[in-house]
Amino acid sequence: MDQTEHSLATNLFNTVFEQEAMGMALRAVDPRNSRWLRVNQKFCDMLGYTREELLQLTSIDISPPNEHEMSFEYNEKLLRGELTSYSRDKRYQRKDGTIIWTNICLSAVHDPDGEPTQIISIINDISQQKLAEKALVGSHDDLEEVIKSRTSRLEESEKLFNQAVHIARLGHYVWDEVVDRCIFASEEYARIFGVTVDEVLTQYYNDEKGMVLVHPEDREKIMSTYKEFEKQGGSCDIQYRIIRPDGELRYIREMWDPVVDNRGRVVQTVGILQDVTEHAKLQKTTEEREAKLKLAAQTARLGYWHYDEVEDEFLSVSEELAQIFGYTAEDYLKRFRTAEQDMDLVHPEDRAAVNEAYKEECSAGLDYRIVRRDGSIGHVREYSMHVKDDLGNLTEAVGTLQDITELKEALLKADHAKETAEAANRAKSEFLANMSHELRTPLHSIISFADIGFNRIEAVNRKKLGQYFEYIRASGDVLLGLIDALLDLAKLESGHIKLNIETTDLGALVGETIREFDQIVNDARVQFDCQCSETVRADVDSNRFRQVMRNLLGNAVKFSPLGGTVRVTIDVTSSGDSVQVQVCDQGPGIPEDEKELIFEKFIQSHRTSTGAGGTGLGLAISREIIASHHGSIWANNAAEGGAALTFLIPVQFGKELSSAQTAR
Amino acid sequence: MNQNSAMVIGRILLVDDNPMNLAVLEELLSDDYETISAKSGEEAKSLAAEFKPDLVILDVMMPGIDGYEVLRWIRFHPELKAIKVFMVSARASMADIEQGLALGADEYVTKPFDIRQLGKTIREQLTSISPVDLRK
Repeated sequence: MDQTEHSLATNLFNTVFEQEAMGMALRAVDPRNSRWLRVNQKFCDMLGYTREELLQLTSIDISPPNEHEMSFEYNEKLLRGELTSYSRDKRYQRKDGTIIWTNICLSAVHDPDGEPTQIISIINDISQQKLAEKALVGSHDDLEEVIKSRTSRLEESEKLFNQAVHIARLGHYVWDEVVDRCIFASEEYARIFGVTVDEVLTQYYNDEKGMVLVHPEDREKIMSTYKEFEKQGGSCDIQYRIIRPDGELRYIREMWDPVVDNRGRVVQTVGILQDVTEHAKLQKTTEEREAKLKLAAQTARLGYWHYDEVEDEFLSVSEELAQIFGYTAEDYLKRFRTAEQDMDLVHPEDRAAVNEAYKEECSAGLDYRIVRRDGSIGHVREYSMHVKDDLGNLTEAVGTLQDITELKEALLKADHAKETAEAANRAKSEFLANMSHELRTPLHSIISFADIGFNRIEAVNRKKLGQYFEYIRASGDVLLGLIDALLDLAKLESGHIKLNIETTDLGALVGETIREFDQIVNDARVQFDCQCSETVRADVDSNRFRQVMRNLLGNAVKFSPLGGTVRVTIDVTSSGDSVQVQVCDQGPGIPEDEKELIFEKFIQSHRTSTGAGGTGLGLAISREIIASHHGSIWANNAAEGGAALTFLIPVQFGKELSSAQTAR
Repeated sequence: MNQNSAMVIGRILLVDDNPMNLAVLEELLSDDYETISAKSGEEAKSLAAEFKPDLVILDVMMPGIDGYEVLRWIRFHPELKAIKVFMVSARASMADIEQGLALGADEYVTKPFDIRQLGKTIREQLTSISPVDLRK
């Protein structure tokens, strides 16, 4: 090469060396001893040294220790000629201690003998590239990490799922809708049916085959659910019974969901299955118990209520409770929302007692009357209890109500029957005491005069003795009359009496009886005034009718003052179907409270009876005779004073008096 | 006539609504005692006040004012309350007897009675009254 060429080459080298795109450096072959011979500005800038500083250093000085070995290795290969150049990524340590990544390209410079003398390095800063690379590697690692983690979570989740379905005894399956058969069944699924997984997939794999395990009564229900599902889609939830191959009945709950492909077609169904036999049995028992309780409540007519003391309104009332009042529960709660409104249902006379009972913390059963929807009165028994919170404030109240109307009515009836029986018993005792009195009175005279006569037989004259016998005879007659009257009354009361009914002129009959009295008992001390406007005819037993008239006239005469008048009237009533006969005297009359009593056996009115004889049975007998003629008899006081005994009988025998006539 | 009767002098009011029973008492007692008869409670009250008897033989069952009421009236009467009263009745139950005695009767005699026993009881009761009282 001539001088010009050499100079040109040198210039060219210098120009290339000093370009600013990449770092360039020149050093001796031995990397340990050879300092940099020449460095360009770009290389200095990369490492943060000035050119002077860098020329004082070796390649090793600016390489991190982990680069040294590789640097030697490559260097050796270059020196030995095994390599003419090489390129690799290499780190340098900058003056400020930071590391930069570079791509270096090294070539050996040989002398004319072919011996390597210098090494020229071309250095490219690839720090940015390295960073990007590192980031890429990093994200790949992250992705792998995520996948690993997800896989592990999935495995964990599957494990948990399996554990959960095992604990919950949930069987699960997958159904292929395209081939319409079961393509997967879990162990639990098979266990629930009492078969093996293999049997599920080979023997009971479709609807038709699987149906043999379903209780015959539930097959239709399942089929219609399937059809519904095919039509409508969506999830399903169904409960049915199965019969395992060994004959055991189990209750099953099955739920399933469709799996849809990306074109919206149902390709699979996944379902779970649970054996709910114990639950179903419990539910059945509970339902049965509830039904029994309800029936018991209905039978006992027992209702309950639940009240909110804070809001002051009913929380609930049972149907039975509402029914007691004639409402439905819904109706009841609409009308009687509060306790105050509810009080309208309580009988007004019992409201105070009910209010008082509610003040008690716990009512021990209060009986009171209610007013039902239809206005009728019922009886209930109520138990109630207040519920307090921890602070002692009233929060709620609960209670039961039982319809005891029938019981109360039965008790009232029993009470009434008891009272009637007791009254009858008292009447019987009174009758016996009275009868004993009435029998003893004439007997006393008979015995006494017999005794007196016997004792004085020698001492008294025959006339006196004759008087004693007269007394005995008279008392005997009284006794006989009494016994006859008693027997007559007994016969009349028993209804065993034969009446000889004939259509009779009552005016004539009454006239006859009055004349009889006039002759026998009346020595002009009493006047008779008989008013009978027209001929009054009625169907009567004339002997019995005369007996009644004798009793009434006898009483009237007996109690009349001297010179008094006994007035008798006989009238046909305005309706024309009955006859009224009245006997009035001018005696003291009858006390108000004895008007009924005088018709009882052996009762003689305090005021009217003078003890002038009589059995005390006359009016009792008269009442029986009038009753046998379907009539009625009563006592009153006449407006002008004195007693008025009146009876009414139908004109035609056998006809009843109208209720207006009998009600007095 | 009883031999002892002359020794006993007394006034007896006889009360009975039954004329035959009243006749029995009159026949038994009128020879030995000074008797007066009443046929009712009202009559008995007015005669007792007027006649001032030593003994009243009083029937229980009478219409109007009965024997119990007459007895009660006597026992509350300032001048008559010490009079001996025999209740006589055909009502013979224990309850009747107890009621009569509780109201202050000296005897309760049931009909029919033993005439000798009655005579004896009357004599005993009347001799227990001092002669001064008897002649008052």
